[in-house]
Amino acid sequence: MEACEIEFLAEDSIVTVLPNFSENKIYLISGDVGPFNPSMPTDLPLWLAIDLKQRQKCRIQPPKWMNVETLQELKQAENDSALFCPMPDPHYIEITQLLMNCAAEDIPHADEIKTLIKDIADLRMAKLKKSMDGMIKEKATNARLDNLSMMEINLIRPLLTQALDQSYRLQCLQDEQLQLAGTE
Amino acid sequence: MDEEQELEGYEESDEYVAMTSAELLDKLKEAWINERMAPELLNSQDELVECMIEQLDAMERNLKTGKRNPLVNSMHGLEMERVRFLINSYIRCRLGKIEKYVIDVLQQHKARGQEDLPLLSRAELEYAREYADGMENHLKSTILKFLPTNLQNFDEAKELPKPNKDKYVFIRVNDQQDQVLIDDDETTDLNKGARHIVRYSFIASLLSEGSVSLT
Amino acid sequence: MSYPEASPSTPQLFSTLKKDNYFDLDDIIVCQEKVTCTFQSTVHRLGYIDPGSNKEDIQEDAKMELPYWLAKALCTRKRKIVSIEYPNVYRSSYLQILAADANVVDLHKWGPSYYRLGEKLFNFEHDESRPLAEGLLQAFISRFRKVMDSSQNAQYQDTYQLTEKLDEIERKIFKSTRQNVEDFERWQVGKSNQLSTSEAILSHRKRKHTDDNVS
Repeated sequence: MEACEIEFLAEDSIVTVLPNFSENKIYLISGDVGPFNPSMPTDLPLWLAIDLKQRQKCRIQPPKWMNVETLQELKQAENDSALFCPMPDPHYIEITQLLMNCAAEDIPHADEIKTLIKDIADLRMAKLKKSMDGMIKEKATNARLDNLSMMEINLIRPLLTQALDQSYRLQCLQDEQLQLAGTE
Repeated sequence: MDEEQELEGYEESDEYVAMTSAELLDKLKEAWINERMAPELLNSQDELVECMIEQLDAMERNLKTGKRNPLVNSMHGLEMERVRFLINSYIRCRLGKIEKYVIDVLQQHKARGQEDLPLLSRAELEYAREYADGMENHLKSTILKFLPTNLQNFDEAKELPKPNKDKYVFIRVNDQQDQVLIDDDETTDLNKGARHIVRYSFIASLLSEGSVSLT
Repeated sequence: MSYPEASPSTPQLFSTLKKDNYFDLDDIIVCQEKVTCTFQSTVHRLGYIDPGSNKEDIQEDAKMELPYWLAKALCTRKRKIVSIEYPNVYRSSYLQILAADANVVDLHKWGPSYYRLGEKLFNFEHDESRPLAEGLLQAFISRFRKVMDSSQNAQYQDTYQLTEKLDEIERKIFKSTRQNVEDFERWQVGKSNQLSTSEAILSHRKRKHTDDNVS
């Protein structure tokens, strides 16, 4: 999949906004939203929140996890652990990028948060590369990979799946040779 | 100004399952992701698609007649564009696989029994047949008819391209499954919410049941 | 038509792995690679196949380089018209070089489809098939890290140098990984949403301008 398609999926995530207009409840296909009252928090899918923000019809509240303290703790945990830490959202990379692009002014300490997210993503990617190399070296033919985010999986998909495909093919040939030797 | 409850439940033809439009959309999204990631053509979800298209048509009619705030109209419009993209991408993905493995797909579809879920929708079946005929005619007219008679018979069954079901895929477990064979000599429990990378052939049936999804 | 889903302990899956893919262009190219064949008996009136010979018949014990697809047809379990030798790069002296340090080997020069042809060689029963199987697997495993690192880090560089010494399968992995990373980087800077003129149109415009100048 392309990165923008993963972003498309991320845009269905729910965020809280503060509208500056009034409107009745709206019955969207993906669910009911509203009613809208000025400065009353209301939950919307991200794609709609971004659209309203771009029309200057609302302010977006950053998700609970998007604050410096939480992210610093997360970064530390990620640094200390050999495994992958659970992320606050399976779309944390996409949501951060989307919000920073259109609503950075609504997010306190936006620059610091951007940096923290990037650091966390980089830490995880380095771990991922190490894991992948380990998997291939150990001739693994399946693995469990909890706590990876959607964008991270998408980033390594072609590499890991194709490498495992080829490794498996060659392992099968080797197994066949061992079997043939065994039957002689 | 009446905001209608335009989106109510719908019933599948065989099972009486009332579903909200939100649930319908989620199912369609899942079908899209599964289809994109799976090496082979998956079962047709034509009912979901048809139903969603009906929803879109109904929405479009409503937008034309109602006297809504243009902001609200644009919200609906934006959502409709998103849903249209989803449906288009889903169908295009399926068509791509149909074209790639056309003869195998037609054979598989034929082999399905009455009680089994269909592989192709009516429109896809027609398309597949036309495409297969077109390919056959093309090969015959450009190459085969110039070959000696005993070589003109193209043994399709022997040479047809088939999807590689041993491709590796990422899965997400939806329902707990105990003692599942996920490799040649390895069984394991699949815990809800866990993610694995496995060869497709081991999870194909779990995928069609909905116990796992591709991710 | 069912697809063999058994474990590799069955001959069916092995044969599927080694099978030639009739419509696959890469496969067709690999099947053209030459293999040294020794004729086990005289073959009449086909002496012209050997450009170096002026005899009417192919003599017993004559050695010739034949394309793999032909060698495979002539060397089956049922009848062995030729016996085959592995190309040098699949024999013990070269395998030792691979085992010593697979990363420095120019597999493109040895190949270019080193792994793929290597896999096909297992269709022939041969004394050296076991060390070859071990050698191929170990080489792929050792070289993976380099393929991964270079494909994920190459930033707008000329990738020729990085892929020079890679086999075709490694190049394929490199290319798809590189495309994926570039797509992500484009998304990060917001270029995914921009429409831009396609390369084909741009070069067409340039060409048209030249035509006008000439006339």
